[in-house]
Amino acid sequence: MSAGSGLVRNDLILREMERELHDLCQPLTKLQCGLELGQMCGDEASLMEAVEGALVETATLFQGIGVMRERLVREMGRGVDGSEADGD
Amino acid sequence: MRILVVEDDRALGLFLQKGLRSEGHSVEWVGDGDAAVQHATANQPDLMVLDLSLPCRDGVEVLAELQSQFARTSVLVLTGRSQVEERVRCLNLGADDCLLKPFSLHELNARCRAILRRKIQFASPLLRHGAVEMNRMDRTVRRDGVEVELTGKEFALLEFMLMRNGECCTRAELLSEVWKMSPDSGTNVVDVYINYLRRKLGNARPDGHASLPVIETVRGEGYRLCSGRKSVASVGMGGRVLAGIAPPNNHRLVA
Repeated sequence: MSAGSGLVRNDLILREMERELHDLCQPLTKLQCGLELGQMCGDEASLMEAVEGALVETATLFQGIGVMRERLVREMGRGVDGSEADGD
Repeated sequence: MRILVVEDDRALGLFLQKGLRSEGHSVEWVGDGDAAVQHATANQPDLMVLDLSLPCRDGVEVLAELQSQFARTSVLVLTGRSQVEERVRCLNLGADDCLLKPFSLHELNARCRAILRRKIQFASPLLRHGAVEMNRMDRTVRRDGVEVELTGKEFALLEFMLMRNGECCTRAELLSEVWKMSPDSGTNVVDVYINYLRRKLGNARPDGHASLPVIETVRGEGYRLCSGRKSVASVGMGGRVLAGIAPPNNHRLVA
């Protein structure tokens, strides 16, 4: 692989990371704001609602982290030139 | 202040709406760019909290449209994208501030307060109708130059009425805008607080003489501010407007 195509690959990886980071931001914002709102209201119903909402958002965050982890494993398996490393 | 939240994620939009309402703002929420422009055209909010990733018309397009037509509306941009260039672009298009996701509700509230503070500094912080003057910056109220101490809710109620500049405010409106309660919640809290305001604003004369009322009852409708000063026009108003007369059940709160 040439130096030029290596740069292109790095650029693609960065873009992908940016997108994945963006996908984590939305559920994390909802998680944070939902919990803060529950705390601000303070009553039992609001706290329960906040906890239930938080569990939904953490599930989304788990998925996002799963996608990032898969890609990390894939990229670590490649050589510095982008070729697939041996499975052994 | 009137705030419009533009966020396509319903759950987050409602969180932001509730969080900003807890600060005493009047907050509406819409979920796409077209609705944002329509709402801004019709209502000209003081502040728009604008997410960039929107259906129909994205946040940057909304911002461009808004700045060309409604320079009075301040804009706080929300974005999950990391590029500095994008935030610079938004600021160059007229946004007042950008907040990067994920963020805390407390930070959002603080940034909104800062924007509105700056806005008030450039606009006049004074609201005045007849004998009553309110300074929204230092949160003081004066009747004929005499300072009157109000609670937070009394202040919010008077502020809403001052912004209506003598027009009638219905009980339903006051209940919904000042208390964020449903108009059919069956409470007389509005009447009770109007009575508190009348008492405080009526006792503000330094010479000890009884003051003219500053809040009129509009029978069957609600209340409005009047000048609180003697004038020819105030004589012979007939029975429609009952100056200073509150409904009989307004001394105790009915939940």
